[in-house]
Amino acid sequence: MPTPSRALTGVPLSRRAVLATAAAVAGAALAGCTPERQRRRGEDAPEPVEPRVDPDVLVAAQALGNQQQMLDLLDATQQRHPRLTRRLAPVLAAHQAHADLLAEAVPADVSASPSTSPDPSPDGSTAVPRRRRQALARVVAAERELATSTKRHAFRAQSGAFARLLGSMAAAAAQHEVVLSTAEGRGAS
Amino acid sequence: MTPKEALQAALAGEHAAVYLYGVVGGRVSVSTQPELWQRVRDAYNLHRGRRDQLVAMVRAAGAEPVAAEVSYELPNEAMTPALQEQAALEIETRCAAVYADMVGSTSGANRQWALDSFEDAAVRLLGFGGEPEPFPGIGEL
Repeated sequence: MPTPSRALTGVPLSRRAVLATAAAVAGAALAGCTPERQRRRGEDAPEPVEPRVDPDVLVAAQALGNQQQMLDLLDATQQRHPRLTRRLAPVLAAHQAHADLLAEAVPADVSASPSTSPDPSPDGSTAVPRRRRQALARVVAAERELATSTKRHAFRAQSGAFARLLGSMAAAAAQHEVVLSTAEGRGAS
Repeated sequence: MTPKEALQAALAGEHAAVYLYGVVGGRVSVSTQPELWQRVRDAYNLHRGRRDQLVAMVRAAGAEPVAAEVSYELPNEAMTPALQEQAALEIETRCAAVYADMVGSTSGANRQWALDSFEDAAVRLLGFGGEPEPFPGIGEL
């Protein structure tokens, strides 16, 4: 299986390069099952072949799932606490940009399943604390978790360019954690 | 960039950061700017530690660690607190970019180390007046 976009390693990442990475990762997913099929050709009763998905596509799918979970939490928090809308807007925009890029690397037939599960809540929905301060603290904790899980994804990525992109997304989540914690005390009671 | 080149580039970046924080730190007034002084001092100590770790990592990779330059150009003259903070912000921003590259050019334990250093630089620059970005360290997409 070709390793996508090794050649991009170390080159400043333009949008085009990111999209090329995404396309290469997605393309590798389609090519992944070919050797398996060839090996099985000629058998009397060929079993249905489970298509083998490129490992970087699985990483992208999990990372996308985690970003979508974060977007859901931010949406729900803004709805429950409209006074947090402005503070959370740039954070939400950043995660939307992350999710959009990752979505381009995940083909439609691969589901974006998060690697972490959200805290269970009594009514099954994304629970947003009633108090604004606690709601913000919940977002801060979620950003910490996201930074950690995204670093794990970056560690696993085979493409260097993809690892670099995921590392940047992790750093962004860590920045959010800090700016939202410093804002916690101000007007968020 | 090979993994070895990435380690050497990161080491070169830390040589510069240590030098520049040393100069900037010498210009911050501990009596009138105690908080900035402490943040610059913490950064200086942290980057010295990273530099020493990188020297060991380059040796472990079987290469001779690059030496520091005799001097480095300051981002500005750093004669006022605002300029000193701005200079520190510039140093961390450059480090974040260097570590982003290192993440892309290494694997295993060295990549993990680069990821942690990248995150630290992205957060540390907030303490020097930096703002969160959608894609820290890799600039405009």
